[in-house]
Amino acid sequence: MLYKLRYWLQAALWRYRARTTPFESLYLTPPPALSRPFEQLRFVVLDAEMSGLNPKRHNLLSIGWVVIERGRIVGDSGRHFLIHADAHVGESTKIHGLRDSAIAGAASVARVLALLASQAGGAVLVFHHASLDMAFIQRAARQTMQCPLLAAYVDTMELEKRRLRRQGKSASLRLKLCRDRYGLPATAQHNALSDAYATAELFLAQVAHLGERGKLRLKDLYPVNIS
Amino acid sequence: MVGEIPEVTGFMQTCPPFDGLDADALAKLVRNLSVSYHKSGDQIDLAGDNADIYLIRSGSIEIRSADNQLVDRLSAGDTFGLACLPAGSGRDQVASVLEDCLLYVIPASLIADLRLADRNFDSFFKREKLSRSLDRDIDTQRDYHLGQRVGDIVSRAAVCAGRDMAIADAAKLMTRERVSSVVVVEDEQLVGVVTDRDLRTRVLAADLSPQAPVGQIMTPDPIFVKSGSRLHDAQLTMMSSNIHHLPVVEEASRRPLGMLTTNDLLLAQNSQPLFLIKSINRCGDAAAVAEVAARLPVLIQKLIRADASAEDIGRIITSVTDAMTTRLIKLAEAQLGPPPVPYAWLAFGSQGRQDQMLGSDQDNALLLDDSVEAAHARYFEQLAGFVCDGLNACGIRYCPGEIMATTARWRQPLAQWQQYFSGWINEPSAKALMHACIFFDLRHIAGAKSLTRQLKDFVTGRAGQNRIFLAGMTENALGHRPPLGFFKTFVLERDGNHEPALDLKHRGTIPIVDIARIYALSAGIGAVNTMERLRALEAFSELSAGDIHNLLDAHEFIARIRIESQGEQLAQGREVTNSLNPKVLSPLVRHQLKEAFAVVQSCQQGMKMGFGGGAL
Repeated sequence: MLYKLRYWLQAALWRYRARTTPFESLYLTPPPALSRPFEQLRFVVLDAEMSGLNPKRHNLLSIGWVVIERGRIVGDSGRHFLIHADAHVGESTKIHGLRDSAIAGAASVARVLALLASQAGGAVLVFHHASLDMAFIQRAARQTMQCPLLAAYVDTMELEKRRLRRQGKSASLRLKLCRDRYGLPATAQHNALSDAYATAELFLAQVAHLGERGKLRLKDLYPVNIS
Repeated sequence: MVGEIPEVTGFMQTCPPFDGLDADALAKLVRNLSVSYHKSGDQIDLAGDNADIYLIRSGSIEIRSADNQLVDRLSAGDTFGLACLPAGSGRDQVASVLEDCLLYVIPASLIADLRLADRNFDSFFKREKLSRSLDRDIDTQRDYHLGQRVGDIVSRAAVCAGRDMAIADAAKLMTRERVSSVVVVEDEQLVGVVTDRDLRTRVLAADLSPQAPVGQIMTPDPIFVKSGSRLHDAQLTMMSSNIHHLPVVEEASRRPLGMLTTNDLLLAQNSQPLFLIKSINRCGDAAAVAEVAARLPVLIQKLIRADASAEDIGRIITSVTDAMTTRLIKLAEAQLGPPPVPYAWLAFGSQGRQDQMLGSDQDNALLLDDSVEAAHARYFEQLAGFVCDGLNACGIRYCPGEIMATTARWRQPLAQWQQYFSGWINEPSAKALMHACIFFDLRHIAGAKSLTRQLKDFVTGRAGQNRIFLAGMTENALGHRPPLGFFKTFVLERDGNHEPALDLKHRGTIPIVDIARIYALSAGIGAVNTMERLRALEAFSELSAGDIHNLLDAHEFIARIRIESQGEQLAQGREVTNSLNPKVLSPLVRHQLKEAFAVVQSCQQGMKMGFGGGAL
C-alpha cells in the first residue's frame, strides 16, 4: 500500500516538471505491482562510481548496468558510461583507476540519465548499497532534469542484511564478501559495469535462496522502495 | 556505449571449445548468452525442447540418466546440454545442481551456427565424430557392418499401400517395385505388413478374392525397428521373432522409412575382416598383398564407426598383419625353396600382444632350430628381407630400433635366444630392460610351433623368480607416467607440429601394458595380450579385482580414444599419430580420460610398492 502511495505522491509532486524531459515516461507508467511474479519482472542492475562519498561535493564518474529478464542476466544488456565531470577527479582515481583524460572523452550526465530512463520504464532497479548510488543519481537528475528518476528499486545489501539477521548472524556486507558467501567466483575488475554485473550475479543468488523461483513475487524482495 | 561484460568474455576465453573461437564469434556468443543461478538441489531438465548449452561458471552439476544412473559430474569450465551428450546415451537426462551454480546459457541456434562454421568447434560436440565424416564413403560402397545403424542401410523408400488397396493391386505394386513386401500405412503411420508369403498362405491357399482389401490379410501391428537402431539389434529381433521382413520407422515421427530384409543383412556383412584375410591368402605376390593391405584403413574406419571396441579393433588389425606375414612367408618359401632347418617367425611388441593400432611398426624375429649351420644363413637372411620388405610395403613400417628378422642378431637359433633372455633377466641393464619390454611380449606367427613353445617355456617362470629383474622392469615402467598433474590437470607435451598434445600411447596405453606385463611375469602367466594378462591375474592376489577391472576399463577407454583420434586423422588424410589435443574432447570424455589416467597412476604406485621399493 505504502509502495503505491509513495509512487502516486512522487508522481504528483514532480509530474509537471518531468514533462518533455527524458524522464517523462517514468512518470506515466506506474512501477510493477508488488504481486508481480519474479520471472515476469525486468530488473536493471546498476552500479555507479563516484569521486567521493558526499553527493554535495563529489560527482558521478561512471555508471554501468546490466538487465535481468526472466530470471537471467541478458548477455548483451551490459552498458558502461564514463561521465563528464565538472570538477577534477581527485582522490578517487586511486580506487577506480579513472584518470582525468579518460573522463574527458565521456558522455554528459544528462545523456546517461536519459539512456537509463529508457531502460528503467516498468523495470525495478537493483543496487548494492542503493542509498549511496541513489543519492548521487538523484542529485544529478534534479540538476539536469529538474525532477528525480522515478523508479522502484531494491538493494542487495538490504536483502543480505535481512538474510543474515534471520540466520542470527552478522557479517560484512561488502559486495565481494557477500558474493563469497554464495560461492560466486572472485572478480578482478573494478569498474561500474563489472560491479553492476557482480551485483546482478549476487542478486540472482539471493533470489535463488529466497524460495522457489516460480512462486517468488516482487514483494518478497522487500524492502522495495520508490525513489 | 555498449560494454562487453569482461568477466564473461574473459572466462569463456579459457573454456573449450569457446577458447578456439575468434574474437568476433566469441563476442557474438557473449552478446546472446544469458546468465542464470541455480541453488543446490535444483534440477535442469535437458530433455525435449531445451536444447540450450550450459557452460558452468562456478559450482558443480551432476548428470543423471532417466533411470537415475549417474552419468557425469561437472564443474567450472565444463559444458553440458543436449548437444553435449554422447550419442546413443539416453536423451532425457537431468542435470541436478550439487553446489550452487552460476551458468552461462547459450542458445542452441547459436551453437548450431558455430558448429557449421567452425570445424574444431563442431568436433567438440561430436563424440562419434568419425561416423559422420565417413557417411559419404559408406554410401558409395555396398558393404556394411552389423554395428551400423539400420537407417544407413535401408536405402530405398518404403513401398506403401493403404489399408483399402485391393490385394491384386498390392501384388502388382510389389512386382513393379521388385520388393517382397509392402508396408500398410494409415495417416502416415505403420499399421501392418504384407509379404509374399501372406499372398500365398492368406490369399491363394485360403481362396480369398484378390479384390479383398490388404487390410484383411496384413499382419497388423508388426514388429518394427527405429532407423537409429543398430543392425545387430535388428538382426537379433528378426532371429528371435523368426521374421524375414522388418519395417524401419523414423525415430521421432514413426513414419515408415523402408523394409529391412534378411538379404540386406547378408549384404551388410561383406566388409568383415575375414574377407580381407581371405583375399590376402589368395595373393600371388608381395605387391598383391600390399594392394589388399591398403584396404585395411578403410575397414578400420568402419569398425570405429560401428563402435567396435578398441580391443577388438586391435585384434583385427593384428590378425590382418598376421595374415600378411604368413602369406609373405609362404610366398618367400615358394621363391626360395623349402627351409633347410625348421624355424619359427615370431612377433613382438604390439603385434605380439595383439593390440596393434594403425601406424604400428614391425617387431619381429626369426627363431631357428639349433641344428642350423652357417651355410643356411643366406637362406634366412633372404627370407627375412622378403617378408620385412613386404610388410613395409603393406604400411607396417620398418622398426626404427631394427628389431626385425632382417637384423642378424634377431635371427638366431633357440640356444642363442635362451641366452638372450637369461642375460636380460639376470643382468637387467637399461638396454636389457628396454629389450625385455619388447621381447617378453612374444607370439608365434608361422613355422615350427614347437620351437616357440620351447622358448616360451624357458622364459615363463624364470622372470618371475628374479626380484631384481622385476624391480628393474618396474623402475623402467615408472618412466611412463600418465599425463596427469597434481590437480588432475592434463600435462601436455608438444607433438610433431609443436602443438600441445597428449601422447595416448606412451603415456596412455603403454603404462597399462607395462603394469600387466610385470604382474604377469611375476605370476608366471604365459599370456601376452594385455587384456588376457589382466584377466588371468584375477586368479592371483597381486592385483585386487577392483584394480584389474579398473585397468581393463581404463585400457579400453584410452585405446578407444586413441583409435578414434587415429580414425579422424585418417579421414582427414593426415599422418596417423598417437597425439591428441584434449581440447577436441567433450568435457565428459575429458573427465573420464582423467579418471582413467588416475587409475593408472594409482596402480603404478601400487606396483612401485610391490616390486620397486626394496630393490632400488
